[in-house]
Amino acid sequence: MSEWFRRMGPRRRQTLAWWLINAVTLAALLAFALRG
Amino acid sequence: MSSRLLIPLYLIVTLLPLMLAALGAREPRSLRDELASGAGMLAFSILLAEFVLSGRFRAVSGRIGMDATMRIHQLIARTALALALVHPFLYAAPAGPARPWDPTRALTLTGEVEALWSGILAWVLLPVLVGLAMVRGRPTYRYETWRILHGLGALAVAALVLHHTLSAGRYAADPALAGLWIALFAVAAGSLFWVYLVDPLLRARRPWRVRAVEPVALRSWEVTVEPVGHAGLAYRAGQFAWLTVGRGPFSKNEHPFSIASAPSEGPALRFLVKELGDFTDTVGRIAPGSPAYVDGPHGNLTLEGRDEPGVAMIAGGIGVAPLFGILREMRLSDDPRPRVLIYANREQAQIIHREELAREDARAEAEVIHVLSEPPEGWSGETGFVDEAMLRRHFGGPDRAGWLFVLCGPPPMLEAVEGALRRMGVPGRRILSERFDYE
Repeated sequence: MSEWFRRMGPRRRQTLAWWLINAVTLAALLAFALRG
Repeated sequence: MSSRLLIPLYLIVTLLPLMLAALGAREPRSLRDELASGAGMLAFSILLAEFVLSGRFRAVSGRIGMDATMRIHQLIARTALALALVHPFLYAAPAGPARPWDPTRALTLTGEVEALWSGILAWVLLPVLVGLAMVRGRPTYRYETWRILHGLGALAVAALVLHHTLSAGRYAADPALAGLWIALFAVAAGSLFWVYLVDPLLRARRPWRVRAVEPVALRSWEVTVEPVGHAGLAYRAGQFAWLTVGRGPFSKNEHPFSIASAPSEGPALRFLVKELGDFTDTVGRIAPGSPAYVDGPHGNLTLEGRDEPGVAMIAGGIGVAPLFGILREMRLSDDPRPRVLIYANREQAQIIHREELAREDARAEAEVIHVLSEPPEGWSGETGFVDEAMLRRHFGGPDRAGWLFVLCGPPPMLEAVEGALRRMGVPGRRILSERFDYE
């Protein structure tokens, strides 16, 4: 995993980090809305 | 703190208000109402975190690089914008005055204009802020005026959203969450205040002056600056600093440059600058005597605390700058450890300080190996690229086992060299690397 991550170019790595942040953020939003 | 911790830390900070709201005493409402409130809270916390990701806040940009910080800032702004835009439309509950039997506002939304005007204004201004940044394009973020307008615009939007959250937010009626919003806003506004006001004032009190600008190789220059009325910079060989020079394009473009001088040389700092087709092309026109400002030191490419028996330095192009600092410091501080510099360039004319490197190579404890991918006729050094075979040839022997590897160069080269070193069994803790993405 880390080897694959290191091999990626910086731009793709930044885009991936953004989508990772988006995924966690949306998951947290859903968890918040569904907690009732 | 490692750069890898930045993403978890970022997520904790931006999700903290949502977590606090979930843990509070307010009963959850319908799915749509909760999605709406949650989206609003997330948009606000992401907006506030953007201040720290502004590229000018060096606690972050010093770790992951200026370019990466700027890009993440731009990408995450889209997330905040999307959440902010859907926020008002997700609500299912009707707007209306507070009902006495519903003190926590589970059944109706605040409808009063006094509580909503700030939110509406922010909802209109945020797309303008993000849209202008996207339309103006990447090169313009360098200019001070644009940055200040963008920063003040963002501060205005954040202040409006804070007002909206505190006056209309159902969850922000909880004093703990209200306190958290105020604290996060204070940190965001404080970071702006620091970057635009305190930091420049502190730097203005520690001025520098350009002593010399000299060509040192094809399209490469050495800029020497000296402190004016102060002791200089407490740095370690191999670190970098943000440099601002004169009143030309260089003054508008703060950029990190590696320090090529050694602390033992004295208070003057030497920077190596390569013309890259942007503002760096003006470096040769900088007049000696020009005022300069130095912000630093930053970076962890140093030998401090390293007790490996030898040091292998591998540089690509202008990446040699911090390694010059390390080589010179080792020489001046009589460091007895053997060291080898592998210095890769495309052509011979790009080699910086060739005579000094030849003198270094003549020392018993040092060796300098030049690598050219386009060698001239009769070239006796290495050719091609720094690959595993070359690294094994120079560092594979038992006399060079356990050495520290210090790398600096363009990312593709670093990735290739790091991969080769790992295949040779060199553990990551013995590899220090710094990439420069300025090309």
